[in-house]
Amino acid sequence: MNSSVTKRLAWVLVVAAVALQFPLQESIDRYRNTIRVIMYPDARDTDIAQAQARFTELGLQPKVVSARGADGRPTKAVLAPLPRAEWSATHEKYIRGLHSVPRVNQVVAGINEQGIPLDQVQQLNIQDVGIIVMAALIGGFRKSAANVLWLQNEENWHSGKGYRTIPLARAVTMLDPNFVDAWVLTCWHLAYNMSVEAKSPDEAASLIAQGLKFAEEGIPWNSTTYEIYQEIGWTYYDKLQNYERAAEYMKQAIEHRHPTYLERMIAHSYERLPEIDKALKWYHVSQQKYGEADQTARGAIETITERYLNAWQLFRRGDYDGAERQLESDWTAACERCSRAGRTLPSSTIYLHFRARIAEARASAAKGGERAKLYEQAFSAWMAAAKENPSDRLARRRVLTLADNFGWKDRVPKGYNDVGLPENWAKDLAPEQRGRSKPAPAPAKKS
Amino acid sequence: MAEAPPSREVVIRTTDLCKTYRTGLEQMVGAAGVAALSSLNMEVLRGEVFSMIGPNGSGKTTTLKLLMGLIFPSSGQVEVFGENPRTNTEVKRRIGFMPDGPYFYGHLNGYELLEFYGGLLGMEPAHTKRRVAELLERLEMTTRARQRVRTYSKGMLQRVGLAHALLNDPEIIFMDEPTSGLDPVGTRDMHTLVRQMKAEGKTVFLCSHFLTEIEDLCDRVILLDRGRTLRYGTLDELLAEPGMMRVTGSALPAAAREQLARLGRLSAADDAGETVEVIVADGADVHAALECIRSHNGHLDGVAPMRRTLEEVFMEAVERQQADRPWEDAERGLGSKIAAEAVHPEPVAAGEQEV
Amino acid sequence: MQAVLAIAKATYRESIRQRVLLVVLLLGLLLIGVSVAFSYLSTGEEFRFVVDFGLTGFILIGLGLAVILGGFMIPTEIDRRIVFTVLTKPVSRAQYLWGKLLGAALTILVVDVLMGVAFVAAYYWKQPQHNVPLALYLALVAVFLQTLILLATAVFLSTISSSAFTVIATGFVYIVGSVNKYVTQLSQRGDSVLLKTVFGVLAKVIPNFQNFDLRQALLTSTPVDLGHLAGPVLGYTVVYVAMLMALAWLLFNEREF
Repeated sequence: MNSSVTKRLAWVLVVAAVALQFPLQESIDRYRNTIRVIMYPDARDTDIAQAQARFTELGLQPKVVSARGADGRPTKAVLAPLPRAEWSATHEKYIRGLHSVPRVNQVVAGINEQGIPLDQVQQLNIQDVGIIVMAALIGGFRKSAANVLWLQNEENWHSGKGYRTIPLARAVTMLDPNFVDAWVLTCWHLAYNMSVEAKSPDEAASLIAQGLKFAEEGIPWNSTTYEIYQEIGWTYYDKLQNYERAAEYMKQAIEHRHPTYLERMIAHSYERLPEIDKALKWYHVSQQKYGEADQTARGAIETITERYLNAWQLFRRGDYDGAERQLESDWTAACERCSRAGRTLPSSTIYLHFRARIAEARASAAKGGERAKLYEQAFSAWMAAAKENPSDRLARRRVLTLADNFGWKDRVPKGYNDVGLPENWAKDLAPEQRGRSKPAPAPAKKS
Repeated sequence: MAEAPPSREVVIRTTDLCKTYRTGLEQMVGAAGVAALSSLNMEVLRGEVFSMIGPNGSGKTTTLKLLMGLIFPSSGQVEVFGENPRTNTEVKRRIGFMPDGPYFYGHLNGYELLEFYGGLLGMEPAHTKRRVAELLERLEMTTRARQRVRTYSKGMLQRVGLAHALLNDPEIIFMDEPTSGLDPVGTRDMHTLVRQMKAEGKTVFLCSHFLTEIEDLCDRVILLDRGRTLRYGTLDELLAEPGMMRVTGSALPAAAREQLARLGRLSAADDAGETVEVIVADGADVHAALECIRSHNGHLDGVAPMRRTLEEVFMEAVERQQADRPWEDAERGLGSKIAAEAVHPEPVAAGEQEV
Repeated sequence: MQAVLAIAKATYRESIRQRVLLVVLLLGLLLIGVSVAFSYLSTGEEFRFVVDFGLTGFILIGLGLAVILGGFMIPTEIDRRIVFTVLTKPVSRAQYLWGKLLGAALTILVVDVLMGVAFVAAYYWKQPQHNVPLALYLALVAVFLQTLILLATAVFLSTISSSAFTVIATGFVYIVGSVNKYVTQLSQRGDSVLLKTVFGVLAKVIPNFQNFDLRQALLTSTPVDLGHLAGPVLGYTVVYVAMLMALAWLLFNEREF
């Protein structure tokens, strides 16, 4: 072939290649930036429809395809390509909306690159992370870098530098958002270890809230494993005794492979509110699921039925007086049975909560001047529950809420809090350090 | 073996071939560059042994590269079998090239290396295998063929280089310093091989510094210096001194020697000085020399047309070139004595090729 | 074609027998071994550490091979005048370049296969369900395709510059190609029109190696379609390699020795 002809052909090839790379790159980008919701093989049509509906709500055009899950089993997947302008907003907007769909095995925002967004790098404390993050930015050793930093975090904690936990955890989870332990343990550090060293209830409450918020951020990246949901649920259950939120998160946890006690945890949460019918329902679920192995559920069903079910049914019908009487009667009978059998008396938490709840419901249904009086009774009932069990934070929270609403703060003891701090939390602090107290005025200078 | 006379077919031709080397910067600013070759006009006939000689930097390697298609001419034409070797790679199926100080892939063994070149030549694998075995046997390399090339000595590399050049039984073989680094036995074998190739009708294009070797082997020679052609023609044309005769005699008294010295250039023909030779113009002077020897009862050893050595021709031509253009030595930074003295050239003798 | 294959075969033999290649292979196997050993230090999900560390090592070894083979092959042959013995045969310069590329690619493929076997074995051992997903094999193939582009880049650069420059420039191409998303972002930010233009050109001209990065998919156990790799990703590789080799030929064809 003529040399000049060959050269021309070569230039044509170069130009064609330059032009061809654009549509190819578009095609690759479309594939990599497709949100995929991969269902469990036993997902029902309603679950798939729910996922499709969620996509449509978010303004995307989904389609359902056959796919294989990570375990290789055939299943269905719902896909939707993301508009290019939306790529950076992937997790906040889309994944949060999708993660709560039932029977979802995986939610993947796309096959994203290993690197870290530049704007997020600015939020990092470079003193803590330095060259490791820079190396990870180039796209290598990301999980390894996260591990190294996480080990440093543990060292910080044990050497009294726990205040560096958050910035370091930020770096770790930025490098590896799928590092579940980082989200879970950081939440635990904040809500438990650091909150008990707080100087005031406000600070303690703030630390617990920070822990919960931090863990929440990890959900979109790990929405198909149970750990983060469980950690948040447990924190609400144990630390704050916010049983509604606890149950809400535990229910999301059980959508995925999980330990066998989670259904019971949901039941326990409802039990303590109390929501007796829901508690019984979840104990039954647990028993059906785990059968004879779940002796706890069987026992709980028996005791709840005998102590609270009758009263609950009356309560649900609005017969608060009847419910109260029934509750007293069933509770007394239960205590007598235990005494006769030589067993320890049952814990009174549920009984006291139920009693206080009946009083609140009665007060809420009343009108006029009667209302305040009935709320005072509810207030006393919660006070009694808190007094019976000093670690009953649900009762303390209701006491503080009612005191705030009705101006009964003078009836609340000094140092009373619902975050687990001892009531003498302010004793060893200088006046200006006491959170809820105003600082003492400076002594007047003698002239 | 009687050698076949070269046919009149021209297998290699250059027409006003020029090559100037310029760096990228020089190209950009339009600088002159270094003229490595100037107006080379040359023809090589089929079946002859043709040699290109010249001092270092004369343009031999440049010419070879132009003939191989490794570089482009700045102007002029180069043809091998009537085709431009730079643009027509098919021509290279018919040629072989034995480079100076050959270098090959060190981690291949001899067999693998030659089979590789066979593949490049488009030879059938079976044919390549046979040919490789045959060549290795002929060049006494069979026992070392399974070893890696990086373990070979210089002589072995030279033999492998020759084998690779002959692999496709080429019509033209280019040889660049083929006896460089060889011992006398190896050199003799190489010369024998060249004669064999000529006998087979192959054309041999030889570049060599060994002028005695050229005299022994070659039919025609071209002499270059600084890119210019100084001499070009058959050996007879270059070496003969037309119209001059060499008269050799021995057992001559001093008077006879004096008389001979007056007739022409007298010199001793042997170390002992017993035999002398005198170079005289053909005709009356020859008769006078013969009469002198006869009258002094000396012994006439021989009368023959005068023939110089290639070395003499080479040195004379190069020195004349340098005398003509001393500034070129200064430009090249050579600072030769001749350049400094700027000797005027002697008049060109009749019959010599004019530059 | 016979010439191309002959050159490829010789290049492969010459490369695979070099000691430096053995060192590189051993280094790669060591990285995979280290990833298994160090995974015990990682907090939970040990096999994910193996995936990240091992696959990143795979990528870096590929880069090293591309630079060593692509950057030194042709300049060395020119310096030692081996190229004379090749180009004085009926071989075009295009055939020579493609033969060298093919031979080097084959060498890299052999090393990658050996390392890949070790990597898959490590993954199989560490993964709790002992299930090796298709995505893992596709990730390894994707790394090989990326290495091909790097190799073609090194070959192209080596036709116009020294080995030292080729090594540095190929490393630069790898780094910029790996952070293509950030370079694109930088081309859209800031006040300097010149800088934005420079970054924009870099983002478009330098291959986007993030296309070949399936580490995140592996770490999140996301299934990857074979069609995606066999289609646009392979097409992208072919397009870039063809372009680089065409450019290399255009320059190499004018080169004098």
